[in-house]
Amino acid sequence: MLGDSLELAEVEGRIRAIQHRLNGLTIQRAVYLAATVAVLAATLVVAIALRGSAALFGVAFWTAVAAALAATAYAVLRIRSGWLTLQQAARFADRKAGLDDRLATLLSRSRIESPSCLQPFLLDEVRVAEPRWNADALSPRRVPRRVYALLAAVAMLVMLSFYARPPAPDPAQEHASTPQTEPAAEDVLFQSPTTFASAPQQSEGDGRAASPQDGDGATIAERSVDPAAGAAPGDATGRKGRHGAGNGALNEGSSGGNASTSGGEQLADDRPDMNERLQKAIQRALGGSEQPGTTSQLASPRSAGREHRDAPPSADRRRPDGSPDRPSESRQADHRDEARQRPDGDRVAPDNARAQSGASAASTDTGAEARSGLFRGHASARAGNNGEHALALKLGALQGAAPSQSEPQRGSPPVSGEARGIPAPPGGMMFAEQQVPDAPLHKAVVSPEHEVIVRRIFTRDE
Amino acid sequence: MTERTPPAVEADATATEQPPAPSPRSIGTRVAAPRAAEAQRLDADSARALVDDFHDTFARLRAELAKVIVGYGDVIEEILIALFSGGHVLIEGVPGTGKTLIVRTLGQALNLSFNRIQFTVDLMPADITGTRLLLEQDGHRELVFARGPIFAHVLLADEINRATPKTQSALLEAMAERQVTAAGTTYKLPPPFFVLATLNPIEMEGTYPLPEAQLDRFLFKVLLPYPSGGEMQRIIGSTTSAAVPQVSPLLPPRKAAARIEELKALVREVMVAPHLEEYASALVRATIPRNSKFAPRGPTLLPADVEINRYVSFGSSPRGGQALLLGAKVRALLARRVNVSYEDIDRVAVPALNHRLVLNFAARADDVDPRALIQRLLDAAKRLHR
Repeated sequence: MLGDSLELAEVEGRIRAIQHRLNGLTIQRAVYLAATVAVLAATLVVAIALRGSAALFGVAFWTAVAAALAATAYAVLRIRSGWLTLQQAARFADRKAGLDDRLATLLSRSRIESPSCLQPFLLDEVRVAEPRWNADALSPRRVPRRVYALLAAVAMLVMLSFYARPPAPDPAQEHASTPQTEPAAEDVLFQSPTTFASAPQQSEGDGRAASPQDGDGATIAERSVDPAAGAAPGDATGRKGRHGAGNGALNEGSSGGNASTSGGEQLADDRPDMNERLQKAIQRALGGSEQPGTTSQLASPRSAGREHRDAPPSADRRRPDGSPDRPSESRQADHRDEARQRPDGDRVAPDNARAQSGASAASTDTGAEARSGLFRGHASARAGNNGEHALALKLGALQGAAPSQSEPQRGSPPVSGEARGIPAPPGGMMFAEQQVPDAPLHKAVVSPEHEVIVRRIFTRDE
Repeated sequence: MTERTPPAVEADATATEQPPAPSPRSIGTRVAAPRAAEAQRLDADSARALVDDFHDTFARLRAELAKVIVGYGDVIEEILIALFSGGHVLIEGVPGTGKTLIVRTLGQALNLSFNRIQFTVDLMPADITGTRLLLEQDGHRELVFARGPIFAHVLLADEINRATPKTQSALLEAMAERQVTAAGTTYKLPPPFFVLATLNPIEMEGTYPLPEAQLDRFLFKVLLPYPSGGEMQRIIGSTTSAAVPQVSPLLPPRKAAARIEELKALVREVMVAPHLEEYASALVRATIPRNSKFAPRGPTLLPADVEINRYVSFGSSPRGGQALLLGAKVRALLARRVNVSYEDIDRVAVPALNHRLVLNFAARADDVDPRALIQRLLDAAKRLHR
């Protein structure tokens, strides 16, 4: 009897091993199924995020969440329903090995105190048939096939991230915009005397979108001559939000907010050509900065402030032809394009603004913050790059060599560019008869320690 | 009205007063001994020998009956299963199909006492059980109990539905209790006590259908159809020739009853797994209509069957479940197994349950066969096998 008990325990142990393997397989299948559904749902979400619309993305996201939850619930139910007890595992083994319920009977009889006298016979039959019902024969260790579905889903998700990305930007455009990064710093230095610095920008797009009505990007001259312009930064920032600041690259006073009248579409089409011309202008500035055409474009901040003062307020700015100004968004788009393309050097290149956007992104909400960042561009350019610093020194010398001869007197009528000796734009940009090219503001480089003095001077002038 | 075999009656009386003691050397004795001790002594080979002995005995008995009974192999097997299960069999068949021949041949092959009672309307209970007679012996009179024809190992109750219910109930007590009470004295019937009753489905006029309580006492109800063409030809040829086939007894006369009892005890040792007991229980419960006020409560493995609800007034009693398991055990031994399987239960479900379904008027109007209803249940229960 003792031997029988041991053998019965052995049989029970082997059936328990079968039970554990089958339950493990059930868990694996359920988990793989749930994971497959979850990955497929994630694939759907990613695909729609890459290619679909925002509304569709919301629907897809919640559908994916619901599918994942349903799959999880189904997996739990599946595990619960497929969980085998020891007796059920014995029945499974009986069925698979063709034992006609011998194992289940033996297992149940092992718990009875008075076993049948025929039990040894049954035990012997089970022992003889052991190769048919052991754990390795009935449930070999293997990974369920459902894992292939999971792997396929994961592969689909991975491949989706490679092939379903949105179309990459045009390499030519990429190439055209990339080299401007380096000259842009010089360009800032070349043109920054008119603006001193760009106001903080919140984002790359905002950096490119130079809104003329914001006013917070106005030059010191503007603020100095126009109290309204001085108050403008805070107002404009509060009004425009994220578009409020960061547009100091534009010369509000000289353009009068109407510099974007040539049409964004046309300018966009001419962009590569404009870039080339801009490159040439930068090269001229770097290599032959003593060219009269370049230096003559420099204008004093005083004239800029005057022009700005002559310009109508931002609320009722009108084009030179008298037509009302377009909405601010349209103007922003126009300036975004124009800021890249204007060859006359009055505009800061977008990459220039982009370069400055990171450092000054936080100071866009208030006018004071914008004002405190006025000299940041020049300072950072000087501190960040020795070459740029040298270039700044060179440009400072240029400013000294080309003094205020181009600076008109206060109250005098605006002088056309040709009348002032400013050559026609090299890119052949044509102006209307009433239009004059923006006179580049010529400003001296003010070191930070002298900033207070400059402010005091202009304030007194006011 | 009774047909007796005098030697059998004598042996019967002996068996009643002095039951034959089983031989300690026989294999079957080990089964009859206390089970706990025997279980320790039996090894696998001895247990296998017991199973083989049962299988051989059964096969020889069936072959011996086949010498006389042409065809009806399934009927003979079911009768033998009932015999070794310790139950009684109700055979329903038209006259002339060999019902009496089967029972008589079985008695001869087993070398057991055999009596036949032809039930008629005027048959009284005392005609079956026996009566007390006033005998004068040595100058003084005394009452002596004269045993009736029921005191036999194998009893054929022919056309049992022609007797009155009073007489039928006398047989009822004997079948259930395996004892007879006459004039306040109880007499044990000699084991094995095996009753085969026949029902004549025709000439129903003047008959008394068996009450459900009495039907429930029968382990199996076997249908004896007309023989097929080939069987009919062989029956005609063999029974009309000069050489009448003879049955040779398989067991010695004094040990036959004990041998049968040993084999019956072996059947009880066959093991049944709990889920198979549950399966048999579910089958029995499925025969009970849900709209019955006696319907069982609680969940069942098998859903309610529409046909059962429509045509059945009362389903099977727990005796049906007992019949299922006992018959399944015999079938397991016939398959040289010591455990019951689903197939064993299914094979005996129809003969074990068909007479326990009480059909309603709608079923009789639609000529519904209770066997078909049970077969529906078995088909529905196939899913439980997995």
